[in-house]
Amino acid sequence: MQIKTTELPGIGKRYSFKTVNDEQVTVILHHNGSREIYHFDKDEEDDPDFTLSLTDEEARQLGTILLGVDYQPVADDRVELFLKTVRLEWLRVEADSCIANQKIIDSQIRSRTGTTIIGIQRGETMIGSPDVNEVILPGDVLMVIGNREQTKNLDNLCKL
Amino acid sequence: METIPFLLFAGLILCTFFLVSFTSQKFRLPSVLLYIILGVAVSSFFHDIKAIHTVAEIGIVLLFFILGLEFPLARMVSISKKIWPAGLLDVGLNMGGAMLIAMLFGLSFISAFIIGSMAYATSSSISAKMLEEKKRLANPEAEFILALLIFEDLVAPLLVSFIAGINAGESLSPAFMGILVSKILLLIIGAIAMGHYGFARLNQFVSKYIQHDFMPLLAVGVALAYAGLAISLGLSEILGAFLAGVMLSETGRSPELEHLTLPVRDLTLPFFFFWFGTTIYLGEGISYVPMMVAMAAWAIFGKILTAFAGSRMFGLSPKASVRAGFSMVQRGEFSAIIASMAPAQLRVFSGIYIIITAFIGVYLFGRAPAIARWYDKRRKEKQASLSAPKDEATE
Repeated sequence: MQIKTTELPGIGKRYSFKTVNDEQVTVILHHNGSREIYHFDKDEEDDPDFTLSLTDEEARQLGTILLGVDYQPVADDRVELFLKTVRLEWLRVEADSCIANQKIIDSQIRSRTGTTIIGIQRGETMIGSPDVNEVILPGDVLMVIGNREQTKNLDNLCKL
Repeated sequence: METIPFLLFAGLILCTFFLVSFTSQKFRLPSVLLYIILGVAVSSFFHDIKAIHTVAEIGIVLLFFILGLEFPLARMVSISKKIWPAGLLDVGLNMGGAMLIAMLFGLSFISAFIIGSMAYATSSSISAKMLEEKKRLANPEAEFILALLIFEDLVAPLLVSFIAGINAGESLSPAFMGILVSKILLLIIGAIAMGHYGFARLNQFVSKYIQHDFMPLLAVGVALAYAGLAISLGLSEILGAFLAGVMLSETGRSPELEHLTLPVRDLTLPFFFFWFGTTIYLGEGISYVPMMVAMAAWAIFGKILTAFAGSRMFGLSPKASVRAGFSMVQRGEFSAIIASMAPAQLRVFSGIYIIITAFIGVYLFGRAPAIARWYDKRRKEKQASLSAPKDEATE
């Protein structure tokens, strides 16, 4: 499946893809957090036959359902493999960790451990897909994906 | 007016603005326009109230400050790289064209320059809102329209600075223009230097204290100070405000800072459009009627042509280009800003021009998909009838 991403200056980001049935689905992420889903029928490229608006929270909830977080309907080999090898972990950054007070890009977490930070829980706020210039602060909880060994490496970095 | 306590006066105005904005939402009309019309309607009671003008100025400063925050120079340049052919065509046709019309009707070069700048830009606020409401953000032309609007936003502060400079000085001598340009450059370089060497180091500071009550003070303070600095240099506050935004965006914390200043902007910006409305006295009669007709016609035709040709250059299909063409006629906030700097008579002219083009623009925006469909069908029929005889010939 190929997802086309375009920037909508001032509004947010747009993701489009075609389903196996040749229907086009477009998702728009607004800067203000709301999401919109557009559906286009075959051959109708610019007149959506339905649209759906979601708040940030609704979209995340729907996202986890679609991901199959608490219920796996199909015993697809690939899905199982994905779950076996890739883990989602929450790791707390200790005060004396060597990555504390560093920008994500400078900490070189991805090249050093192989993990990817997909979110940072900072006190009450959650920073989703943080920018590479985001500074990791002591006490942050990093939401990372990677295999068992990779996340373990990062866990070590968080403690040192 | 003097008998009413200030708080009561201010409260009533804010409540009226609320009603106006809410009504515009219900009737799907641009709120900018309703504020202006409200201002025109009560202009005889609200003659030149200083407090309103002061608040209005803060609103405009914050509007452009937030724009600067959202589009740091690097992003602006990268967007402009893709859109510049359309952007230049836009300046040439819509600003140059309108200027030419104004001069044909006997206006002086400077007046024509002001009118041309006023007629130039499509309203960003109306267009972005309409794209969202009409569910057209998923369409291919949305990216083009938004990018062209940003190009216009980049040109806008410069145009306004030139007008402010011309208003302050008497002649358009080369020496005067040279000083004006160097002042503008000085302001830009100052902002880039302060952003790059100063605010870029404040990333951690801002992220640590963003929730605290003193952060809006920093953001709004920097915005007003740099805007004021621009004024004291004889330039426009808009350029200063925009550059202040660019400067603070170097902290890498634009979304949070924007979040802090948005409520202040939403409180103050309506005052600008309202104030602009109150400066228009219809009682004096409308002059330049033939010019108005010519300008309005060009406003529609020029923009359709620009957006259509620009979209084609941007690589869109003919159908999407037609849709883009009919979606950019509406003028709005930027024209009002320029018009507010114009002499009284041109201001009345501009006010009416904005209202006319905005309503026609909103109407055409709604019709654009149907027009594009009709055009596409006709184009395909034409192609079919053209290729049919050829097929016979080859057989």
